[in-house]
Amino acid sequence: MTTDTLYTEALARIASPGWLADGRRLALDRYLASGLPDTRDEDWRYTSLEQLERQALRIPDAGADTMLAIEDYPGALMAFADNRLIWQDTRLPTRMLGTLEDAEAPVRYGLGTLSEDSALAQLNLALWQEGVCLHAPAVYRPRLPVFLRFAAVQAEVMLHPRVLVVMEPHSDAILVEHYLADGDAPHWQNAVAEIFLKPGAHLTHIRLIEGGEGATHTHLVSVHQGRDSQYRGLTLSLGGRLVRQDIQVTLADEGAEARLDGLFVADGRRHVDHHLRIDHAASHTTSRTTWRGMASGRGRGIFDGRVLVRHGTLQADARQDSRNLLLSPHAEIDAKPQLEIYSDDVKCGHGATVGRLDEDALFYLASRGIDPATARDMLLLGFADQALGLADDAGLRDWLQPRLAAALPVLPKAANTREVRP
Amino acid sequence: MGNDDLRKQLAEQYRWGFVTDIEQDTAPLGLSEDIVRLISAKKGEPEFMLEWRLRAYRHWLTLKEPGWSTVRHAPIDYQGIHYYAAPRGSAGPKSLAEVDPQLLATYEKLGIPLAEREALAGVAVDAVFDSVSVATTFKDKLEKLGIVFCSFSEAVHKHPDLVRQYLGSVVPHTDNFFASLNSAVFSDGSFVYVPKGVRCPMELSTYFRINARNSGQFERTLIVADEGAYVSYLEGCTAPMRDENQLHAAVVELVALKDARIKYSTVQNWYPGDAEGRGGIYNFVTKRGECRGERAHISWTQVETGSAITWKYPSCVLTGDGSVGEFYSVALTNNRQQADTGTKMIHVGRDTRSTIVSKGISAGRGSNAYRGLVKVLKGADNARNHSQCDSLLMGPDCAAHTFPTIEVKNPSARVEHEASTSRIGEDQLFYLRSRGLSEEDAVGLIVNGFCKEVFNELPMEFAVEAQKLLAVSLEGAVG
Repeated sequence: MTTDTLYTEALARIASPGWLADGRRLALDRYLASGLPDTRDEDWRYTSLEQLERQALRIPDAGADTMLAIEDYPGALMAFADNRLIWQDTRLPTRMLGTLEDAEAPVRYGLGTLSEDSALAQLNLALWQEGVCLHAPAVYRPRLPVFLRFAAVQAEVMLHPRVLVVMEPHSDAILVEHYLADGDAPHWQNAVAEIFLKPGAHLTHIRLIEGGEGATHTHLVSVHQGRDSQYRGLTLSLGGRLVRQDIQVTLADEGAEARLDGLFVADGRRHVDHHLRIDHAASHTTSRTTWRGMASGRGRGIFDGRVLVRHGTLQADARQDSRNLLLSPHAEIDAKPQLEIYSDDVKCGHGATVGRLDEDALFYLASRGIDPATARDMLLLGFADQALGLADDAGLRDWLQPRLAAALPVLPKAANTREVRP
Repeated sequence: MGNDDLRKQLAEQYRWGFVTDIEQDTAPLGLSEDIVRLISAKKGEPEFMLEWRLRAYRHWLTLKEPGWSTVRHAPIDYQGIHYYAAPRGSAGPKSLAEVDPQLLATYEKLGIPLAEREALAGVAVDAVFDSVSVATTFKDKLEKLGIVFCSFSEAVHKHPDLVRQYLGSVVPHTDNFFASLNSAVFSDGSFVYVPKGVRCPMELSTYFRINARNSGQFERTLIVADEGAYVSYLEGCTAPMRDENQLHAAVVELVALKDARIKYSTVQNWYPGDAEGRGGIYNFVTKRGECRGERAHISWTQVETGSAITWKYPSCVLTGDGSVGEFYSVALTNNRQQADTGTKMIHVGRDTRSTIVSKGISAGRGSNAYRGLVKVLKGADNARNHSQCDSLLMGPDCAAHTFPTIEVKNPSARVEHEASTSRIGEDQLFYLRSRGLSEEDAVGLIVNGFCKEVFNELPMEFAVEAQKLLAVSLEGAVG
């Protein structure tokens, strides 16, 4: 059976309210017209989704046992297992945080408008279930972080989590998305988040990807920023067999600021690909990107970041950094930091480095009596820890740090020692 | 900034635009196997060359014109080009007296004093007038050292073994669309072979000049430096003013064997088209060097101020252990010029090093892109790369892009890339003006400082020319 018929049948099994049905059909047609992206496309040069063609993934059975022990989250939680809502914190009213299917009319109009260019997002638009809608009213500043937990439980399922965030003027929120899987069975999470920041709105958006050896995780985050809004995103790709993250930010009005932080760990046979597009479409906009990556084992990490400054914009300020550690002879790092600039009144820069752990630092630690393995762990943790600046501001470091430490690659003994050649 | 100055600058005429009327021996329009055979026959080439050309032509037929770059141009009619044009009496003059006096006058205007070539600061000039080499200087001196420096056609006849061994070994005839086209129809070019342990005592130099209407020039340059040899090669260009776009698809191959060193410098100032982007040269060049032996060293230096479109990536394949690749570039685009240039550094051997310094200057409606690849393969232990790409923008309508790609498969490698894009700082300008400099001089000073790292790499004669070129191209274009 081809995947096309698979997806068409999946759509037939999804019951949805009337306002959605037509849109789903249209989205599926659009997806079928383009199909899965392949490696001939420059944006997918390093990442092949071929294995999705071979796996007969299905929409999860509704009646199956989808309970999964839920740990404590330091905030208001909405938990999904196999795309079904299994738990919702009642501390926030449902008109603020609820399922997307129940979203009210003016809010849901934004659905699908920020992700039209992506074939995978079209597939998600056809097949998402329940979904999440976070709608922060004007000047509303909930103190509680909002946690969304998306777990894959059954084997060989495809999940299409969908999140719509509308931040009304001068609202402020912290949103954490947590993706995980029960075991190493093959499955696919194809998530889409569309985020609208109205004038003066602030959003801190943390995403933690933890999946098993069988997880394929594709994810599009698309942000549209209004005047003087601030988006601060932290992406932690710590698990999953194949992870592909697309992050698109449009700075659509003056004074908009975006800060994108990221960290990925590509160990074992993991393949982690991040594609960032920052569009400075208005004057006086600022973006800061800092991405950190580690590749060990047979892992492969990819960073592709593009900053676009449009014609006629003034005083755009962009900075992009990609710092990568390559820790094993079979691992690979690919970096493509790109600037595309059509205006002269700009301040743009980028930097990219690929290297191994600093030998001077290792030597110093050794001289203080610290054994090499501990020293390497310390340096790796120190390298990764710097990515958590945003979590500090959100008060979530304590929640994230142990997860980060657990995901760091364990290096073989001689991973960083210089080979002595005859 | 002074708008008047800018206008004056934009109206700046191309100073080297003139056409010499010389009878041409021209092939019919278009391209076919017969034309390829004709070119080969006209040049009296041995069988292996014809076969090679035909293989390239047949492969070219299967290729599609690439469309991935940022450059935009009207479609090129490959059947509307004369693929062969030779000045009359192409049998080859024995001395200056046999050279067409009009030709000599052209060189006079170009500033190549062939008549006083001995005095030309020790530079031997192999001047290419359209497709056939006319005169080669300093030959005897070089011959004594065993250095071969001649036109490609001559090399095919006199040194077929060398040509056969090295032709296409760095840029194969299947490499890309324009390289395949070049391989099929290339008319002439330069060939240099420096034998073992010889240090070439002078800078070798060739001036290319496109003259005949609609005759796309397809140059082919092959430079081989044998073990321990050293050669510095200069390439400089001006072209007469034309309304129609002219295609130039050259191929340059460098081979550096063990401990050899090749320094290749280019100043390119072909006709860039008028202020509205009419006319101008399409410069689609494939340049690649291979460091084949241990500790070989290849250095590319280029100053690109001309051409309507410049599209080239001088590259280094660092095969030998401990070999070094360098790329220094200044690319300037003004009016509607487009440049998509950069380099590839492929680290194959151990302890290989590469340095990339790229300076892009965009003014008017110019568009300038740096596109580069640094690739460290698995076996390239301790490979080291540093890249620096800076762009300077002048005017609200220009564009500057930076597209570096880094691929690292070896953990002992260290790869660094830095890039910045900005316009000339108001405070820098203000400071210089407060010291009594005119705005133009201040900009000149800042731009020269911006490009200094690259100019330092140029041989002296070129450094002077390059600075002049930049000054002429940028008068008044203050952002």
